[in-house]
Amino acid sequence: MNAGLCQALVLNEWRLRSRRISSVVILLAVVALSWLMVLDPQTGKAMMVVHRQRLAYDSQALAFATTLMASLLFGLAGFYLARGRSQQDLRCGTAAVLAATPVANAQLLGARWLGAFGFLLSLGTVVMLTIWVLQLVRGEGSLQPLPYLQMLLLGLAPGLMLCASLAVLADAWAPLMGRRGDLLYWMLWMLQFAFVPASLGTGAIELSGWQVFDVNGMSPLLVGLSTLLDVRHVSVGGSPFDAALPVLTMPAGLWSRELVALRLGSMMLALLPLLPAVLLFHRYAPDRVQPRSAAGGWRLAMQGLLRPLRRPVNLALGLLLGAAARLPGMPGRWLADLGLLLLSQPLLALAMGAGALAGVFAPAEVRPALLAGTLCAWGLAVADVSSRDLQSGTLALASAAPGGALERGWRQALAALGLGLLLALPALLRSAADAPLAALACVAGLLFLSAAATLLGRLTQGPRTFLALFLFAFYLDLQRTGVPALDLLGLAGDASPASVSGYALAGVLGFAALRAGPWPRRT
Amino acid sequence: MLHIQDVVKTFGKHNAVDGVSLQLEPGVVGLIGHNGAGKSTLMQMLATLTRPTRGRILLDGQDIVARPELMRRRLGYLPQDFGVYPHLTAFEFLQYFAALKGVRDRRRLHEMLELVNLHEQAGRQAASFSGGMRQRLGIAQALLGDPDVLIVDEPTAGLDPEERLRLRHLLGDLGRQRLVIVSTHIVSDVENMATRLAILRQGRLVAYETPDAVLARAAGRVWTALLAPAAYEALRGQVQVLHAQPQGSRVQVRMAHPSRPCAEAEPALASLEEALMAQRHADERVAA
Repeated sequence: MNAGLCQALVLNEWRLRSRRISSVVILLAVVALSWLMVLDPQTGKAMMVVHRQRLAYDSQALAFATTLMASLLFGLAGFYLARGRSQQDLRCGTAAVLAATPVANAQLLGARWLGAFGFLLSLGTVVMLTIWVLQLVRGEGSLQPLPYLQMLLLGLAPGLMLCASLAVLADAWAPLMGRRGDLLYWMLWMLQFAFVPASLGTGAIELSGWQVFDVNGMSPLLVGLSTLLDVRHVSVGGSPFDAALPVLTMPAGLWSRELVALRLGSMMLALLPLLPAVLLFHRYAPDRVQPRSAAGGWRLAMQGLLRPLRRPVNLALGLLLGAAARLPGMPGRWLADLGLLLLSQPLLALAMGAGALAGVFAPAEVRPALLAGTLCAWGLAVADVSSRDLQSGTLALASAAPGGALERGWRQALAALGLGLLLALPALLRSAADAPLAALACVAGLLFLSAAATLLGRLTQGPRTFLALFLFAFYLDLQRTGVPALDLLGLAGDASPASVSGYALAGVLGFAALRAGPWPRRT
Repeated sequence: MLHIQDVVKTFGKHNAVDGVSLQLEPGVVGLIGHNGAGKSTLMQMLATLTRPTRGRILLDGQDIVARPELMRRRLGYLPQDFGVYPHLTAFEFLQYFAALKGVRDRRRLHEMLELVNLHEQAGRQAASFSGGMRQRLGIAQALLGDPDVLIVDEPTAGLDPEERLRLRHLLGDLGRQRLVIVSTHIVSDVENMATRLAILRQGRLVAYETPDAVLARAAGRVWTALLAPAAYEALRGQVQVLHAQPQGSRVQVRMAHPSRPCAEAEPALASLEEALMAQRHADERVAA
C-alpha cells in the first residue's frame, strides 16, 4: 500500500470516529470517573490505599490509577465507539462504492484498525492530559510525563488495540454486525475480570505467562504493583485510610522486564482478531450484509427455528397496534411506540417475555437472576429507542404524524419505561414486601435509564453510547460493591433512599428535558 | 384552504425560503424548482417538521405554526428520502403508522396496500423491498388517514415508467377532493395533473399560475429548426437550446428565444418543461 493511500484511509477513519458526539460523551464519562476517583484526602478516603496507608498523589500513582479506570471503561466503551463503520457505510450509501474500489480487503481493514486504534489512543491521551491538570490542582509531587507515557503505551494501549481489532472483526463479519456482536463483546469484557482474583488469590503473587491473555491489563498491573510494594492487598478507587499513618510514595520500577514482555505479548495477541476479520470480510456483498434479502444458511435455519415462537408474538403485537389505533390521543400513540419497540427486536422481545413470565412462577431464589437477565435484555432493546427513526430513515414520516417530533421524544422514553415496568413488575411485586427499597430502586433506575436511552440516542444519533454506559453500569450493579450509587437497578441490594431519590430525580429531569426539547432543524 | 404568508426560513445567513406567500386550494399544486430552490424546506414547514423563521401558515384560517397538531391530523406526508423500520413487514409498518394516526379500520390498511399494488407483499419485510416498492409503501402510508392535505416530495424517484404513470394518475385523482402538493424538479411529473404551478427560484416564489398560463406565455418563444452543424454551432451561444438531436448530416434543434432566431426556425408547440425553460431564459435576459 502506498503511503498516500494509507494516510488517506487512516485519516478518514480517524475523522469519522472523532466527529461523533458519542466520542465526547464517553470521553467526558471517563474523565469524570477518573477525577472522581482522585478523592480529597480530607474526606478520609483516598485513591490508593495499602494497609490503611494512603499513597501520595504523585505522577506514578495518578498515572497507575487513571490507567486502571480508563482501561476498565475504555475497554468496554472503546469497542462500541470504534465499531459501526460498516453499518455507517451501508446507511450513507458509500458501501458499494468502497467495495468497487481496487483497495484490497487487508488494506481497507488495516486502515480501519489503524484509524480506530489511533482514535482510541488519542482519547486515552486526552484523559491522561486532564489528569495532568488534576495533578497540578491536587497533586503532591512534581509533574513527570514519563510515568504517564509508560502507562499510556504499555498499560492502556494493548486493551485499546484489542478493542480496535474486535471492532474491525465485528464490522467485517456479517453475523456480528448487529446487536449480537455488541452482546458478545460485553460478555468477553466481563470474562476478563476472572483474571484478577486468579492472580491475586491465595497463592504467591507473581507475574506469570498466562497473564498475557489479560489484554486489558488489570491483573498484570495489580500484580506488578503488589510486587513493587511487597503487599498482598492494594485498594484502588477510593478507600478509607488512617490519617495518622505516614503517606506512602509509589516507587519507580513498576515496569520490570517481565511486565513489559507480558504487555508486548498482549499487544501481539490483540492483533489476532484481524486475521479472521480479513478472511471473513463481507466486502459489502448484498447477500451477506443485508439479512433481509435472500437470507440463507444459518440465518434461514435460525428463522425457521424461531418462526413458530414468533408467530403468536407477532399476532399479539398486531393486536396491540390495533388497540393503539383505537385508543385516542397520546395514550394510543404511546401504545403504538411500545409495539414498535417489541416488533423491532423480535429476539429480545421473546427473551424479555420469557424472563418476565418466568419471574411470575419461579421460586424466590432464582427470581433475582431472572430479573437481572430480563432487565439486561430490556437495556439492549431500548438502546435505540430514539435513534431508530434516524437510523432507519423514518424520522420525517414519524415527525409529521400526530404528536410531532417533540411529543415523540418523550413518548419514546415513556414507551421504554412502560416496557421496563411491565417486565419487572411481576418480579418486583413478589419481592416488594421483603425488599421494598430494592423494588423502588429498580423503578427509579428504569425511569433514569429510559430518559438516558432517549436523550443519548437523540444526542449521539446512535444506540452505542447508551449501550456502552448501560452495560458498564449494569456490570457494576451485578457486583456487590456496597456503594449505593452503583446499585442503579437495585440488583445488588446496596441502594439507599438517597441513591433511589437521586436516580428518580435525574430521570424526572431527563423526561423534562425531552419534553422541552427543540424541534429538529433538519430531518 | 392553506394560506402561506410571507414565510422565511433561514439556515445561518442563508435564506432557504425567502418571503413566500401562497393561497392554496384543493387540487394538485406542482412545486417546481431546481435543486436547492427551497422546495423541500418549504414542504418541511408545511408538514410541521420545522418552524418558519418568519411568517405564518394557516390551514382553514388556523395557524399551524402555533398549533401544528391541527395540520398533522389532516396531513399525509411522503418525504423525499425515507426508510422503513428493519424487522417490520410492510403490513406491520402500515399498522404502526395507522396507530399513530388513529386509523382504526384494519380494512383501510389492506385497501392501501392494494391501491399501491403491494398486497401480495404485505407479509414481506419492508426493508427487503426495492426502491420503487418502498416508495409505493410510503405512498400507502401517506394516504392511510385519508388526509385533506397530501404533501409528496419527489414522489416518482425510483419508480419505473409504469409505476410513475400509475402514481401520476393516482395523485391526479386524489387532487379532485383535496389539496395535493407535489414537489419535483421533473416537470413531466406534474405536467398533466397539476392544476397550478408554484415556481421557486433561490428560495423565492417567481410564479404561481396554471400550466395553461405558462404554456400560453411561451407561445412564440419556442422554435424548431433543422440546421447544418456549423449553423447550429453559430446559434448555440445566442439562444437557449432546449433539445438537439443529430438527423443525418444535420441537427434537429428546439430552442427558446423571444423572436425568430434564424431564417430556418419555425414556431413550435412548447411542452410545459420547455415553456418553463423559455420563461427562465427570458427572465435571465431581462436581468442581464
